[in-house]
Amino acid sequence: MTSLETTSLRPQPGRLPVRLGPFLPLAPPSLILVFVFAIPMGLMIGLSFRGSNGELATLDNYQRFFSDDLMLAGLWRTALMSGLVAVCVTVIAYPVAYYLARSRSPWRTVVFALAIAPELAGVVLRTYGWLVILEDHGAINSVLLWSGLILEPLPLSKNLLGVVIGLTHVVLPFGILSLLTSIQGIDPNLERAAQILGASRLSIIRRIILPLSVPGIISSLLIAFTMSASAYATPALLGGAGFKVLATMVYEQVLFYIDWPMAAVMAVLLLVMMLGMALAGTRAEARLQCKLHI
Amino acid sequence: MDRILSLCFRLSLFLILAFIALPILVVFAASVSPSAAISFDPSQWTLAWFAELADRRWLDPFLLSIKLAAAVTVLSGLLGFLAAYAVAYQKCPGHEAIMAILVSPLAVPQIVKGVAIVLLLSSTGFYSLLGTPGLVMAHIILTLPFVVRMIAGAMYNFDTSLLKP
Amino acid sequence: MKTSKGLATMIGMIMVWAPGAIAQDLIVNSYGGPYEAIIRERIIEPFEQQFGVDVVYDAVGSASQDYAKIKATGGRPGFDVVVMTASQSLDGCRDGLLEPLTPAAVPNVAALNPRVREIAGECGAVHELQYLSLVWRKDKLPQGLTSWSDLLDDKLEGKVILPTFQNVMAAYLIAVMSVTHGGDLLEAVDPGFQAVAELAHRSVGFEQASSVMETYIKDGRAWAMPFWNGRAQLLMESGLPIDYVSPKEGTVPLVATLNVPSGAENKDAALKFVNFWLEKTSQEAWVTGYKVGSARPDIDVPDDVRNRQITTAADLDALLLPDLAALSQRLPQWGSRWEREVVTQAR
Repeated sequence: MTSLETTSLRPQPGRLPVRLGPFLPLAPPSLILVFVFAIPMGLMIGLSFRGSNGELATLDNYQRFFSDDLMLAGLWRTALMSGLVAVCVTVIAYPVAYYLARSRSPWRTVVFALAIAPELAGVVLRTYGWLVILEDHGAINSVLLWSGLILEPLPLSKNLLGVVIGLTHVVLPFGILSLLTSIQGIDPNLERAAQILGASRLSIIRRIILPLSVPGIISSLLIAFTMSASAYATPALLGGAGFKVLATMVYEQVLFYIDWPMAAVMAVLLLVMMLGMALAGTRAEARLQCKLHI
Repeated sequence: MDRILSLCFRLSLFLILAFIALPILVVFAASVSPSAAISFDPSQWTLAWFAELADRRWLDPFLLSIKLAAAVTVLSGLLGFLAAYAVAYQKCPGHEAIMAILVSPLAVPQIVKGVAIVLLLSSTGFYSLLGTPGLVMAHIILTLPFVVRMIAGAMYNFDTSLLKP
Repeated sequence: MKTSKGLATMIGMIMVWAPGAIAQDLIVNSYGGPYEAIIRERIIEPFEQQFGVDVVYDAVGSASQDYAKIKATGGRPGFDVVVMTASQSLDGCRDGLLEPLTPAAVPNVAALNPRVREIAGECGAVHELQYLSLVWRKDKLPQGLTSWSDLLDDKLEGKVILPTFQNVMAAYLIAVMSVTHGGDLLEAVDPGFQAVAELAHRSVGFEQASSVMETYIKDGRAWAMPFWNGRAQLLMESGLPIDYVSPKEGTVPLVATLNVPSGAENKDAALKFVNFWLEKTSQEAWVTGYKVGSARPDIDVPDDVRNRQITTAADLDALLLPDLAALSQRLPQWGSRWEREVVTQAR
């Protein structure tokens, strides 16, 4: 890795000091990213500074957001919900990813298909499935009420719990894939060697597998956080009337109140939060990777 | 000790798979239930809803979805491969930051991306792009982060020294 | 540079291949559910036969979502006719996003009640009138309900389902509750918020979609709710043991309108379609099919329909009519109050 970087930075005769070569493949994806994402988002960001009387640069909309306790509560709820989902997804995805990376059993393909298949069913459908299961008169509560274990339905939906369950399910495949690529990159000989030297299964996991899969853990946390924070359907369907997060609030501002500058403010805050996380995450990942390779 | 651990591992794996399958089973039951109320009694199940798919009312949107998916798969796969190649394989300078930028569309709720694209197209007069071409472009933005992440994840593990003479 | 050339070809191919074959068809955006089957049978199919135009029905989106789409695209939302309510028609007309539907363009507009025309403005052709009614289960409440304040009765504790604020019904409920408890429709609404907050505390909860609210009444989780009377009538005729009433304190109408976005692709066919829906025979078919009221005073409908629907000038005079433009301006403020004062009271 180090040798590659030094050669690419060394000036070569007849060429620009920093070679453009490595950047060339980025041209087509950048083009579409710029025109269909960056420029429209720039427009959105500009909109967030637009005043109600046509001013082009005012902080009025941000002021409106930060002086409204309901909106602030939505901001914190977004962070809490996404954080919880990120942890749940990573914890649940880990055993599956480990099994998929190491198993030689014929069941492996079945497990893999099962782990990824939910992605094909679409978010709204799966969330609807959870609603049927978790509702006050849904499957779980019906069974529990019928068995006499409870007298009142358990509050499984229309709250944070329901949303976290639903979102964990929605995001899980991405967590599994992130961890899988990372665990597959760990040399199985390390585990075998440790086993031969008498290490217990538990200490192999603690001392070898977990530390070496840190990049995968970080990327799973990151992708789960990001996807949860911008998810709309699941919090809207499973969260109930009082459960407002930034994504559902954005929908409301765009489609119901038609207050686009306010929607833009929320979008910008979400973007800032996520970009910060993504940058910190990739930084930590790169640093840890360096440390572990040397 | 190791046997208990292995047992726990298997049990947790089983529970997780049940968790994954549960809502899908509910959706399946809904698709074969005779009425809007979901029935878990297989003797009542019917394929009548699937037969409705042949109706033009459902078939047209269904075909459009497939067309859209096909176009987006090809384009997004190609663009994602190029980006991942530069970032993960060639490790171009600043690749961590570039990766963060490439996956940044994920951080924006779909409604914001959607409205932003529509506002851009309609404020610059590209009305003809509203509709299917706009949908294809927007879906590329939607899917590109996943493609880049997946391909880059695999490429990070390549041993580049194998390619040196 | 092979790749980028290939890419360009590919994009080119998709541009040619993808645009739908529906460019010639008239695209009508309305609602799904029971609405869709009736509109197809009573309006769309006769129209297609008479004018030889293919209609594509788009059931996605509520009135405010459709209006957001019109606004974002500067009047080119991709549909030619859209069903919304009078408040969106007023807004869209003011911003130049909707086509004015003058008697010259749509002759049948002239046959509508002038007061209703005034409510909806020049760009909205009123094709249907409903009102906010009080619905209850006859088997649970044999003596029936007569007043909005009956919703607060002890026998309905935990048995009322309410709309969320994103359903326009919520704002109307505030208005009628306000009038019932000594306030007015627009300014002095504190009594309305207080009453609905108390109601929220005793309710089963909130649902955004009318179609989901219906399920609560169907399976008996709720015994009463505010609901549009047309849909209530449909529910009743489906065999449910329910009844509905326009409470004695009065109620507000839902003025549904047909609109043509200013940049619609098939404007001629769109105007013909709007005119067709306002035809005397179409109005009669719609009123008896969807069980709603009409703004055409000259239609012939059976007495049982007339008794329960808004069909005459006298019916109109009995309604509470809020200033819709002023109401839509207050919506953000009311929404914020609703979240603070009403939603927080729910158990």
